[in-house]
Amino acid sequence: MKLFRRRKPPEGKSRVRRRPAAPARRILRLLAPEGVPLDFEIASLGARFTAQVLDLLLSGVLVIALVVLLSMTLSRADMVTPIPAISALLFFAVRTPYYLVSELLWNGQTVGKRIGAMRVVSANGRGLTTHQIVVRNLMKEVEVFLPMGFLLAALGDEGGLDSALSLVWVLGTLAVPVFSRRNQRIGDLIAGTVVISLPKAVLLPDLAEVAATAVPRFVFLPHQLDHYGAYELQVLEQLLQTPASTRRGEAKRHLASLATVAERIRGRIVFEDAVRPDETRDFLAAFYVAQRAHLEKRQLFGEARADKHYAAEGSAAAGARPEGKG
Amino acid sequence: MSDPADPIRSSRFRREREAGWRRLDAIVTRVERSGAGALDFEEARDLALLYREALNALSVAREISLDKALLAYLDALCCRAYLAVYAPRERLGGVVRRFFTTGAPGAIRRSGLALALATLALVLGAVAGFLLFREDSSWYSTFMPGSLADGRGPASSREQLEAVLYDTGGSPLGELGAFATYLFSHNTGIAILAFGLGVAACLPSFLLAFYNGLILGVFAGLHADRDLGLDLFAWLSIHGVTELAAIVIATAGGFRLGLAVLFPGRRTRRDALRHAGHDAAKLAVLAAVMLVAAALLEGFARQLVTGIGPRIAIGWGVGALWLGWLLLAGRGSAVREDGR
Repeated sequence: MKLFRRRKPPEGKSRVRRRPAAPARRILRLLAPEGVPLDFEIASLGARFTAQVLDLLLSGVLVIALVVLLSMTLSRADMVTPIPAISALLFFAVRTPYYLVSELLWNGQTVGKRIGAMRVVSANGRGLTTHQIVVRNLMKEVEVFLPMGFLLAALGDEGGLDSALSLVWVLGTLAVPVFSRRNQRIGDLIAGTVVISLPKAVLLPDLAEVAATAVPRFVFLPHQLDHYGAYELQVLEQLLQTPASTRRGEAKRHLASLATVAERIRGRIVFEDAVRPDETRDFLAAFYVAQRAHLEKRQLFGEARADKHYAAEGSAAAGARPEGKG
Repeated sequence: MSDPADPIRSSRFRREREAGWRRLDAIVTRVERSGAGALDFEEARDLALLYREALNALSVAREISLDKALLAYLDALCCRAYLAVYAPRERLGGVVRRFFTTGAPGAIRRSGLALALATLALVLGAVAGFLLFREDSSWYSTFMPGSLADGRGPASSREQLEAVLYDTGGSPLGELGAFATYLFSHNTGIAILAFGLGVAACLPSFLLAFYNGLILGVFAGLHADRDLGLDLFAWLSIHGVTELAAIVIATAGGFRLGLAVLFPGRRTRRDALRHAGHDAAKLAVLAAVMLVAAALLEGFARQLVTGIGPRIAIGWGVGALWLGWLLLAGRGSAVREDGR
């Protein structure tokens, strides 16, 4: 809990520096047709690769099963069968249609994506169209399967130039999603689609409601609530929302950090009353409620306080623009 | 201040709406698990209503609430509900039917120039190959990929060639199957490449079609030289009409993209490409369908039908069917097909 440590802000450094950077997540901001921006987390390359391998295995197994079935029925009918031809044809006829149909029917999900909780969305915020699904999967044929086939064939023939060329091609197409800003492969870029990972919605209890049931023993004065901003408030919220650990060591450490934070806050806001060790949690919860009510009220009046440096920030920026949500 | 009867504003806000969110959550979870079709009337109606309410609540909460738990939850809930509401409302049957009744024929009819160019490339290549072969038969080995020649070359006798055409040499069906496989993957490869490379300003696609024509030309030259012209024509016709048409269509799809890059008109290049992409994708799918049809013709009909007349009749008959379908289908409803 370094945040609550009293520390002189180093001169001339930007606010972003002072706050620990948020974990690197790639975000896709879509404007829903209702006019509300929604933030989606872009699926990681590893997850997409796993899904791709799963899908390849699945469609491969499907083709092999069909071929075996077919050859069994044909051999019973005593016919000499061109198995390689049939399997090539089947593979071609199953591969891309598999992706097409599953993404069409499952709203941008294949089996692999479903297992990995991912989904294809349209980058323009409208629903995914059939055309987009067709284009992104047709391009997969050009991007992945064709050079892969060449590569395998060339390796078999030990052709030098061919295999080198197709290797360059494969590496090139693989590099595109690595370097593209939204992890899009070429097909995604052309179709205007992005693969996102599905968010999990977990509603934690409202701390203000939980705390309100406690006895209102701690009372804070307005000037005591002027020290912190939304960022500190939400860090405190996170600390308080941490579920009670069953392991003794962890629970002990949690209690210790609660106590540290409580001490820092008491010192900073000059809170005179003593806080008994068993009251630490109540104190923090009460402070959280009071601080949140205070900050939300300030925000309603048009003064959003992003973090504890809001005062310096306000004078430096001279109120150039009202700061957005916490 | 922290009186349970009078909570702070943002808690009150949450308390009033939480039941609706929970219900929305349940409905969305159901949609994710078993599709929107599984909802009954009331759930479907509530989904739309509750989704709008939740979005509303989200944009208000972003302004008035500092409760991170609430904001994160609403964010995730709205994202999931958005995906459930704005899902493609397509049925597989509907998509397929639309493609075959209006989509593909319309795309063909809109791509006259590209089709003409693709045909031109192929025909030019074939003529050049034919003439070159008559000049000097060593051109054959220059153009013909070894594996495609299947042992046929300038040194082959008339009988050898005839044996391949009519499959009378007692060559086992398995071997021929392998050859057919190769030919099939060769042709799909050509088609996919011709389509994909079209973006690069048409030139690679043109060269590829031209080269394919060259192969055809020298092949025809070889057989014409041995007095097997008509036989080859029949041998090629039965699947080639469909297969070459598929290659031409795939190349035309590439040309549509290339032409959009070269001559975007009043659009930006990116927009033009996106616009042309609608038709190009349809052409590519159509080419794939035709390639599979051609492979079936090649695999079965060509081995079973060996007469010159029937081979020509089947090949061109199927060609006429394709042509009739593509030119005539969906004329009445071909008002607009740009949207998707």
